[in-house]
Amino acid sequence: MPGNLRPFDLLMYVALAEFGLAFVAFLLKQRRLGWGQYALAFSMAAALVVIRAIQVGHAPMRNLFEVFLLLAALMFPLSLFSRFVLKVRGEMFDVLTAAVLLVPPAFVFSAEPQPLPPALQSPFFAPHVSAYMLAYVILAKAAVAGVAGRIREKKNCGLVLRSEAPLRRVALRIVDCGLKDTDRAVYRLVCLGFPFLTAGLLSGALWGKQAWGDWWNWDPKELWSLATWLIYVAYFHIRGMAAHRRPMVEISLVVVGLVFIVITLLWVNLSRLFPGLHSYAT
Amino acid sequence: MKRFRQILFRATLVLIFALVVLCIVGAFLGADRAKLMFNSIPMWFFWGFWAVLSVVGLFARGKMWRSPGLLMTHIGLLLILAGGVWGSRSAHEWRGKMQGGGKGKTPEGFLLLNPHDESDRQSSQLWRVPEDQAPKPAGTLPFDVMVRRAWLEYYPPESEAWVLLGQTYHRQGAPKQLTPLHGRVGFPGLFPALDGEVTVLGYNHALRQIELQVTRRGRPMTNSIIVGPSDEPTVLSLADVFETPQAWREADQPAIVLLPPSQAIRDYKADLVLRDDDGNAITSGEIEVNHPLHARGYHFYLSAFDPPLALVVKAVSDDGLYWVYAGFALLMPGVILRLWAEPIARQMFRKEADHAG
Repeated sequence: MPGNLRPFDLLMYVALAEFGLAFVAFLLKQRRLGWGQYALAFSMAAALVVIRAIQVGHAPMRNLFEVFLLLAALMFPLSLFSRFVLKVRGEMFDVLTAAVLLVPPAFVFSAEPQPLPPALQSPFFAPHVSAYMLAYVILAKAAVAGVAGRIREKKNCGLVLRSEAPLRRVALRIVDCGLKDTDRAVYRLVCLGFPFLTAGLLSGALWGKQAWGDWWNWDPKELWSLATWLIYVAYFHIRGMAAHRRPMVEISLVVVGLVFIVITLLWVNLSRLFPGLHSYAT
Repeated sequence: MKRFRQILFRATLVLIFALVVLCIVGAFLGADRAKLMFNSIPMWFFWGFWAVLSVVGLFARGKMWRSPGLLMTHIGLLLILAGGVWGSRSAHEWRGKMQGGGKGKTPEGFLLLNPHDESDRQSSQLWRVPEDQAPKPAGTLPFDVMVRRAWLEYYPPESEAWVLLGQTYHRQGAPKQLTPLHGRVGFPGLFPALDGEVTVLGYNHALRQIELQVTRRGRPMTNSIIVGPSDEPTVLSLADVFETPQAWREADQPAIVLLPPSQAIRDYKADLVLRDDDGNAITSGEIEVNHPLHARGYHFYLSAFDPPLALVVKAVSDDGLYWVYAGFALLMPGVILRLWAEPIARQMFRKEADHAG
């Protein structure tokens, strides 16, 4: 083995390469090959999570290294569920997301196993973190689906518009270019992810009461999590209010939601700007 | 009515975005200042306006009563808000004034206690203040809290045995001499200055303790010595195993240096007893992180423990807490009903209707 490359690291690099190959296969419209590579990469990522859990002796969600490993492994089941249950596609972007998620544990975050500090030894630990991780990958997929769908439909719409008469163009702008499919896909994904986000928030509040004495501590991470939750509340509210007439606003909110998720997960944990009770999660 | 509903919708949306902005500002301010900001008087108007809008929304929006999920979600949020307000410092102070000065519950406070200390006085600071300053009082509990025992528990060490060294000083003040001793259990280590041996009888890694047997001139001098826990090297003087202090000094003041392996703290624990004014025990129990003790409307938390400093016990009033829990119990199923169950049910009924058609 060259240098001090451990089998665990090697498996992680191979999984990363497999996700990359799967992306290329999807890009070249080789769907069958893409799914095969994707499944292989997933099995490696899942194996990494299981090995890590055995190594550290607890649910592997203690630090950002373990969390990102888990997030990458969650993408494949999400792709399957989205495709076969929600009828939402986008595997190419899912596989790209999985690859991007695997880069920090492979090259940036420390893999040093850490024991659980007293505050994390709680029955809420695994459910709280898993609920958030599930919510994050689902809502990230919703944002990506929204942006990708918007770009695709705009392109298709442009082709149609050039061949139509001026009056009909207006009608098409409303009906055909109304982002109906994208809107539906995004809505289904947000509907799937939002209860997990709520479960994460509420389980965190219950856990906070057990560990720190307050169900709400005004900690920066809590405030960013609440802001994220409120963005999706606003999304549902606007949908109810505008009766599906403002899909662009809705998609924009889902994208803002993703930005908030990234801030909550990364900036709040890594930056010294936000010291707080969640500072162990680095 | 439609116009009114639209205004209501828009006002709610403005409040949602305003709260998003306030959360971001609060995150940059830090927890303590954010808490002050969200509990300030202008924010009371904000929360009040939010509550009014939610209640009006419940009645103005007919759809709410046709969707159990939506209804549960809204009522859940209202209960959380109500519980938060009822449990706030201002509401505690207001109730205290209503009941007569000083009779109200303290929302939260810290008790600084040494083992076997008994106190009912809460301070607003987490840590001990300098000797010349008194801790800022936060209130008085209607009973005394006593810590019977407090201890730390550790993860298993990276290496099984501690490092043991026999230490002696020459009488003329020459540098100390160190003799390696056996750290393995049951292996006597010869210590010439002692004219005897030092044997490790056992380790308790959870409590980070070592049990030693010191033998001098063939006779065990003590039943056993238990040392720990410590992060730093501990020097254990052997003066007591010598016949006289003079004999110990003449033997170059032998001592044992104990170097514990690195061990992460697994838990902080304490045994608490709550007593009424007559000294009768109300309740007792072990507290640790994630396991508070609940009695007479207060939760007791082990907030900090840094031996040999005092233990910090946090007492938090549970006023409003069960409203919040009731809100959670409605909000979570409400969201699931609204976003998962209701669409599935709608789809199923539509399919059945299609088949029937």
